[in-house]
Amino acid sequence: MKGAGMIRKPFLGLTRQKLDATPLPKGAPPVRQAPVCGTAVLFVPRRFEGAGTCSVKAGDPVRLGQKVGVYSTGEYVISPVAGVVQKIEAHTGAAGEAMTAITFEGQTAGEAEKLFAKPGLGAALECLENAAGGLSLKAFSNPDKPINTVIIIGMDQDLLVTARQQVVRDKAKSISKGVKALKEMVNPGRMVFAVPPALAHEAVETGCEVARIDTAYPKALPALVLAKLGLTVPTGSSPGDSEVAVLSAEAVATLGEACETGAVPMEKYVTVIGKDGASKNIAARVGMPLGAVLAAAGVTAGDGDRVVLGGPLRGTATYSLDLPVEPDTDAILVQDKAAVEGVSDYPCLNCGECVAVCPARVPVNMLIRYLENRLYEDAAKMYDLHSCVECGLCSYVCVAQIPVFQYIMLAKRELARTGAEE
Amino acid sequence: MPAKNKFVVSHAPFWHNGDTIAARNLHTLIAAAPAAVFGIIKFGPIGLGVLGLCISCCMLWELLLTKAMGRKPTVGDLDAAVIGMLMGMMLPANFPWWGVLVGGFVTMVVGKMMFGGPGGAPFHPSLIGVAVLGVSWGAFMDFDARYLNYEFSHLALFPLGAVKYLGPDSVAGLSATDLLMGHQTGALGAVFGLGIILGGLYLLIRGYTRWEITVSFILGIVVTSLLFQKLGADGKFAGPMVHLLSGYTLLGAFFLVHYMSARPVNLIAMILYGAGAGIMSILIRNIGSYSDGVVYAILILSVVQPLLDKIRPKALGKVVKHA
Repeated sequence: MKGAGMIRKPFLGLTRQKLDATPLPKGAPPVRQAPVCGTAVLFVPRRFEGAGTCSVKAGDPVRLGQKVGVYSTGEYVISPVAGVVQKIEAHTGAAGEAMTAITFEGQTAGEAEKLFAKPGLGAALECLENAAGGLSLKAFSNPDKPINTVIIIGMDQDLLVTARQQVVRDKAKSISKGVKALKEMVNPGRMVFAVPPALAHEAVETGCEVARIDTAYPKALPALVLAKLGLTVPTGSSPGDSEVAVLSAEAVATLGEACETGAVPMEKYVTVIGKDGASKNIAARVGMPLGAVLAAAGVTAGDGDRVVLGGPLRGTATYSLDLPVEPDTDAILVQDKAAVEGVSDYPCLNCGECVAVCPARVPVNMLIRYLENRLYEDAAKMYDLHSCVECGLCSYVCVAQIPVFQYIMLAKRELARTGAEE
Repeated sequence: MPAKNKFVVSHAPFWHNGDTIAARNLHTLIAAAPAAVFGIIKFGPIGLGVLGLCISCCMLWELLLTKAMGRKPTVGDLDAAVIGMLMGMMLPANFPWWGVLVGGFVTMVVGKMMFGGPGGAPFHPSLIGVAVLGVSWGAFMDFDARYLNYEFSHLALFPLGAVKYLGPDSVAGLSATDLLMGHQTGALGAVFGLGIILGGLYLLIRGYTRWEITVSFILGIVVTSLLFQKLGADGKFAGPMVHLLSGYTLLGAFFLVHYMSARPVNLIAMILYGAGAGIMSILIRNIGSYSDGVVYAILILSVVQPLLDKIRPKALGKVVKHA
């Protein structure tokens, strides 16, 4: 079982190792529906400071699809059940983000409230924020910087994951509707649909400009898709300056479904990858506990195993199966405890593997020397920390097993934190 | 409360390609073995003694120093073994034992551990050891003097020394096949050209060493020696064949230029480094005072390695500000 499915360095190493994104099999079985689950947890990105500060409290009755305002500052969740708010508590994200978790209990059957009966950008901002697919439309709401290009990514962001390809194949009609709605709502001059060559047919039908992207990992990551289209964002510019918005295909499909039904779609595709490396796509509801999704796929996770939200190179390990499927959770990976490998505190030997593999041409060998010594500002200034596209390949190839990717993410967060404090 | 499963939580990625330092060094030892074994057969069991003493001496020094510094022992990564092996392969097969001990000390203590151990050495430690031995006990590093008592069926002179002091005509009898098959005098592990090439190609193909450096180093040697032969004084300089297949050239091209912390990692920098070391080797041989210049050439290029590695491609999204 050790490292089942894990791709190792090939015997011949004269040319760079090519990791191919996992294609959706042609004759893949239809997506399996996760069973009904009456518990759901949703997060709001704001520190919980006692029940008194929330505009909702435990025991409040909720209707299916009802908008529940959580804070007076506008944070909301869409109730995934017809029942009650069971509890409200603090939650800490994987990177230490302070959040508020709202637990619901009740029925998922029945007709949801039609919050999106009158489609429009305002309505979308008011109710689609935590719908399936992680549809964040905040980038469109800045009147000073209109978005002139929308990139829709119909490719999975990690190896072994096929959920997003499945969305492109199964929900092409909804995506077309979503594209139409986006055109009406924000009227960007250019809309590009980035897909693997195998899904180009589905993409053409949406009426977008189609970009066929190489399936070699990590070319489907937003920064690299932008680079291919000649739209590279200069490092150091803030996200608000950009005239380009990147959306996932599932988010656009959600928008299309919302326009069609008027309700807020809460069902999303999740690839569940078992210990043997085999994967299944499951239709799960946002907020559903991870354990319920794993059970639907027939995958179990035991003591000492690793449960990862996302894929093997970019995912986030999690500690409990009671945590929910989040709007942007594309995959759940379970790794056997025998396959769990550690990292080391060995110094960098300057082998240069990371430099050769880095898709952003970052001098990782020099960068890591600065990061290990916590010289984050120098690392950003001299050695291109902010060019990193977060693919994880540097750690994957590191001969000394240095947690390079972790150092990079830590540095980015520290810089963002200290930058925000100033 | 029921017993809950505890999961292992760590940062991405959750896969690793499985490559390790120890594996790399083990394969380097395997790749160097044919040339070393040939040298032992050619020069007799004393060669085995020298090689074994080199390897054990280097490993022991590393172990002692990590212990003394209160660090986790790193000798298991086999880097010290590779360093000792390569140092031994650069010595005359019957080098005196005390010389090996001194060389091992200099190599490991001055060459590697003083710079902080793994990843810290700015030069190939073996080259530091050999350079110090060459400067301090030149007579013991003189192959012609060391092999006086040997009966060779081939020219019993170190080819590069013969070229330098007697002119290229003195080695006219040596064919490429002779040099490749080890019918020449030289260092314990440097005479069997074919073995070094095969071992070196194995490392290149496996991706453990970088072809960019090896190719540019060989090109540097060939082009520079050809220029000297064609444009220099008539009959004064040897051609590329002798330069490429004798002395430390092949050992340099396939093993010595690849010490990871002493060589650059970016494409243009690697090519400049390899070519520079090749050109410098020939300059030292042809117009310098040493008959073989590979050791010093690589050491000199390692000095400029940090500078060379500043020549790198522009990172994604990097905007170059023009003054």
